[in-house]
Amino acid sequence: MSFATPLFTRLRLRLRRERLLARARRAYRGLSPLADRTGTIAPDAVVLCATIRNEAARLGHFLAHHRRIGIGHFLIIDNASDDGSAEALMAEPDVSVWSTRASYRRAGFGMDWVNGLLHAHARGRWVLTVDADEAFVHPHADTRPIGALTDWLEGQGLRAFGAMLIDLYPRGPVEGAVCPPGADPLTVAPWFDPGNYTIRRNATHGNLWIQGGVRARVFFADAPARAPALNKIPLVRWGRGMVYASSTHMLLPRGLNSVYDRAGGEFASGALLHSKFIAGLAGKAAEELRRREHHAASREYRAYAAGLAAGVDLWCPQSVRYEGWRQLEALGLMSAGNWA
Amino acid sequence: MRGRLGVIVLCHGRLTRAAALVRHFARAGVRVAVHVDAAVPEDHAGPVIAALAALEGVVLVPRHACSWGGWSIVAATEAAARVLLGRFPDVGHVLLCSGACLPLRPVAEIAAHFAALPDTDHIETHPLGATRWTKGGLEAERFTLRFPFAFRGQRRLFDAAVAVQRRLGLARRLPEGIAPHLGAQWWCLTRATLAGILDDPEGARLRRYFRGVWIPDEAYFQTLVHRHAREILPRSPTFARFDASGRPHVFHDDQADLLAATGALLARKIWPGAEGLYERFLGDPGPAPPADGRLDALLAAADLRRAEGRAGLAAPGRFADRSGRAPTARPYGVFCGLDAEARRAAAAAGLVLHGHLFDPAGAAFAGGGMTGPGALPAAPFWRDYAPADFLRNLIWAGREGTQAFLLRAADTGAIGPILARDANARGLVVLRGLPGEEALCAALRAPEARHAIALIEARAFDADPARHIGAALAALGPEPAGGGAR
Repeated sequence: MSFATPLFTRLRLRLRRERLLARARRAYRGLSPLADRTGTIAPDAVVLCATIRNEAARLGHFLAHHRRIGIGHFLIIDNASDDGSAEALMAEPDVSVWSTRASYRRAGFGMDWVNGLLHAHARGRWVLTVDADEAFVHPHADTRPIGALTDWLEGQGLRAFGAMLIDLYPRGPVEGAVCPPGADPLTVAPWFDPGNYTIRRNATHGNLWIQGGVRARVFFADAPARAPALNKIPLVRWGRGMVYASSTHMLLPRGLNSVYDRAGGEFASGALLHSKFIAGLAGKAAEELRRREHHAASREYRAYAAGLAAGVDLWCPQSVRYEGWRQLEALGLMSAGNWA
Repeated sequence: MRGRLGVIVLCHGRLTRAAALVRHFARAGVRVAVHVDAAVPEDHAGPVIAALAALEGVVLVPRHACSWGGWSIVAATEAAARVLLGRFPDVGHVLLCSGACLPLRPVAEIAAHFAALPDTDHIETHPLGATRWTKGGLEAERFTLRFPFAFRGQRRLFDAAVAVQRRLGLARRLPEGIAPHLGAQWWCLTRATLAGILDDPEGARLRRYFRGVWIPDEAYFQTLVHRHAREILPRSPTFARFDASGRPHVFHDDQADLLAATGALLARKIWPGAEGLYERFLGDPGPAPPADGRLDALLAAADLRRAEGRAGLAAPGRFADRSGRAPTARPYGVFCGLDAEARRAAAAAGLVLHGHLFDPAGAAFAGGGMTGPGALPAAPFWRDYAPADFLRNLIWAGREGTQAFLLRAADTGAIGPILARDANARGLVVLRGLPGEEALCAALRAPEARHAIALIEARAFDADPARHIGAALAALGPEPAGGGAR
């Protein structure tokens, strides 16, 4: 932390961190283990942490993708699924599952559970925290596993790795993009916006604030300030005293948020392919509106519900079809930095 | 005497690959001295050491705890060299490796390479001051300052100690009889040279001095070799490169062909998980391809990307607010007060000319869609929410060609100062006494302005429009045309 920061701000951040740590400890006690296989995790394995609810259709691909990039173990919090998600996860040998029926919103939108779980099971490890509709992509992902990246980060003396959320969508109505259970949603929704992103820097927390993409373009065109944040720091070497402070958008202590260069150079960074816009979203949006468990009184889901009911086509002539990490790097959405 | 090859392997961290390397050398009849950093936990190191000790031609060296940048690495190397030379009188050359090194050629070929030049030492060694060898940080001061604190772990104290010594003008005196040299840690020395260094009559005095030198593993042998060598080939047999922050570049499976074509006998540092590299190069690496500079070029490009980044890009890893460089990717044209002339000229010159991008009703992109380059929305809200990002995105997305756009002076409230600060902003503003011109002029003439937009009175412009437009188009060439306000 910079010494230029006012003492008051530093104290405030410290207090916030302590409060979040206390919440995490309490939240962890509220999780009941359904399958705790953490004793089987290899010493140098990179683990993944996710909170899910009714994701049975997505889990097959979610696990397969992240196994393929080299994730060694999954730590999953199941928030009251009733579609068999928890049972399916419990049957997987490299997954540990905890369950809670508590309120997602009151658990800091799930982050208290995540923080608690990471402190209990991931200290000293590299951990990737993502959602079930996200797929992590790192530089050289086609030839090198995530362990090569974390070893390199370690060698560089880095403890955190940034990634940008790339919202994918189909061409044509969203409800027409039917993804069979277990299939890769990229096959039905491969398009994304290549270059309409705003980037600001949060001076208090030191993280970047990125907005844009299809959600901003279509659903928040008249209210840009409310467009969802696309900046994430999903990959962290977890250690004592760390907490995710707001989703995976920022961490405390805030030095962990310095995953970018300010002097003109490029830090290595990754991407999270976000396959939200596939058939089924309309039903999900309606349900989330009923539950009111998401951010900003589910304003986002209201926008989706309205747009999807109208059969809106998210595609535009500048939309780009996803091809791979080198394409994202060429577009400037991620970077291999100096990881040659 | 054409002796055998001896190898010192310095190991720390994960030992599995190092052990495979030792076995690979031993199998080929090479003598090996293995040093395992005392910091490696016993439960990991113990079984590996026991297994290696049982191998024919392998000897284990008493373990030192090695700290990066300190004397302990040299001490461990000297200890290993003593054991190796003492135990195996048939060794002619000694090659220094780490557990993360990988031979790129068959061991027999490597051994023959050194044996063919029995009196030659292969060691990178540059006299101080000739060319800058180190990447950033200290160079000559490695020899003249004192370093009581660790660079990694006590960085602030380290830096403070350096600053204090510089301020006070403190400097250690170089011992007599040496000329300081620097070079890569990985070498291959003849028995005679190595024994000469180990048994140097001045050894005690020189070691006392080098104990205080920073990163002595890149200085001790590289300096002392000149006291004992008969012939020096000043090149490391091992391809090892550091990035701009002084961390070693690490190699992976996808770089196998590039490594093979470095022309080097060995490479470092290999990622322990690089199954493909170990399989290929500890198996049959095949005939050596002609050496090329592709891997060096790749590493240099990566270093450059880390240091300078791509101009005009804002990305999750690049927020260049402190770079002092133009915020956009390349020069673009701004035309205000000459719509018809600009349209004609742009069509003739093959520019992508957008309409009134900053029209309050929405952006008029070339082609007239609801979205423009990069999928920027034409609707005004998003543009007006972050006009600098809008402009940066536009130029970045269309950077393959040259872009220009029309401006109405009345629309320039937010964008005027942004254009003014951008050295890539070129083009022409014709002053016709229209609303908004005063504010636009004030922005473009501000002292901090860096643009190259020409401001011209309507009378002067109308006298010879072709000349002024021609000059504005010429300024859109790829080369920056200076930065001052006109």
